[in-house]
Amino acid sequence: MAADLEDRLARMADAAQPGHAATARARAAALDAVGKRCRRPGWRRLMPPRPVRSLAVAVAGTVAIAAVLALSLPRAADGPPPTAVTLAATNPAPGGTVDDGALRTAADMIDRRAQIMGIDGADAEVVDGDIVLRIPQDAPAGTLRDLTARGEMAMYDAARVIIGEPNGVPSRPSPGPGQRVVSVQDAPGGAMNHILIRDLPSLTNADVASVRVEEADGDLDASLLTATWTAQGRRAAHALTRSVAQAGAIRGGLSAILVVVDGELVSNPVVDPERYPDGINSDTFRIGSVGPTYPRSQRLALAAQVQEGPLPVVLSPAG
Amino acid sequence: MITRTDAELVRDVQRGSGSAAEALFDRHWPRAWRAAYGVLGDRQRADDAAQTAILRALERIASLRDGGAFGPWLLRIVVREALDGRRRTRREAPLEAASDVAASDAPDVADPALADAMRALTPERRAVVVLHFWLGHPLPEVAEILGIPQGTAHSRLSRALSQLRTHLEVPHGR
Repeated sequence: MAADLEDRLARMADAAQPGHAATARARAAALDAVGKRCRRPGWRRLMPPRPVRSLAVAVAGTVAIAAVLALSLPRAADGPPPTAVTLAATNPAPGGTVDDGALRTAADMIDRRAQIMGIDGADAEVVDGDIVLRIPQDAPAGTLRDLTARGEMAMYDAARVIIGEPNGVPSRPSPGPGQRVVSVQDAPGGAMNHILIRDLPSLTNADVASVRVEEADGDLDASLLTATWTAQGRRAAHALTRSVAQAGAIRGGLSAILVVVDGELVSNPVVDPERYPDGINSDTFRIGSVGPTYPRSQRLALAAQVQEGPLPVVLSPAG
Repeated sequence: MITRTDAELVRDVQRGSGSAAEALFDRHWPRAWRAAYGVLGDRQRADDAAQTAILRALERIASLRDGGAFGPWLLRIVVREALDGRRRTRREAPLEAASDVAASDAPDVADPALADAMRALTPERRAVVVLHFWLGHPLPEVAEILGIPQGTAHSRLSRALSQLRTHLEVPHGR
């Protein structure tokens, strides 16, 4: 190969230039944005965030999302993070095998989770059929657990899926075919209850394009997680919220919509049927709130898991 | 002609100056776009990602205390937007052939084999390559822009170069 790789990269870079039309559009948009802001009284002081197009779902219950985060994610990889951990992978499907592609995908997803969570220095790579995850010593406690949790999110219409006691029972029931158990903790440190549901999710990670973590204002002293849907997700969310609204929101407790991550209830927002009698047809959806006593890293961890989707493998410390 | 520094321009934008915003845009847009294109490998998506990122940067500019750091700060937003954009579309777009590029735009891919090899990299590795080789940032700056430690940036770059060489069948070790 005659040309040196780095020279070839440099030449490739030189050839990559923005088009005139795109530049003109971006320039106009940028100046327009600055102009509008300048005309807004007090803009320099306030600098408000981009408007949330829909904060339509009243967050009911705040259902101890952080308690769930703190206590419910897989335990196998918990504990003080070492510098490097070797993780064995298994296929989540019984009897399934794990190939290199799944391992590489999982490693890349862990890298992206770390980036979203702001864990500088975390790095995952595939080594001899395992994943070696390096975590900086100063990473927050629980980082290993948060990075390696599977992160499978599902949202359900509570009225359609709950079987039996809606508030759950202390002893874990045995799910039948097409059923699953959702665990819920009403308060930090409180006992776990278990709800048996039909496993018919209305929305999953695949319907989520991104998740934003923002600080709540007003009376909600918490961080809010807001999902932006894919096009398909938007349609499914509209159908779900319409169904919930038309059935009449069930007030308090476990009601309306169940947001479940890795088998744990992390939030149960309700839809106000008076305000949204036809459901919520919007790109965005507030899926839950996290109380202020919990570290931001855990809030970001949930956002990263919901956004990135479930790891294709189940990870546990090797050996 | 007096060239104002980024710090001066940022300060003026924070005070509401449109001309300062224009100057900042002109100075940083080409690099922002190039970073987005390098990560995404698609002109149209790069247009969208770079524009979104620069709007986001102007929107948040009041929170930027060190105006002199505007460039790396913007690149960080661009790369994140590009990575997020890639996840949103959940597909890997190819680096286009020159014939696919609009007539008004310069052809981007003079080296299709290298473009193909770049496409095979993960976006995170591609980002390191783009920031280091396309935009000329030293690795410590690359690490800072991406929010990763220098060791991670170095290992990602090493792996990326190794992967590129393997793809191109360039002997390792040069």
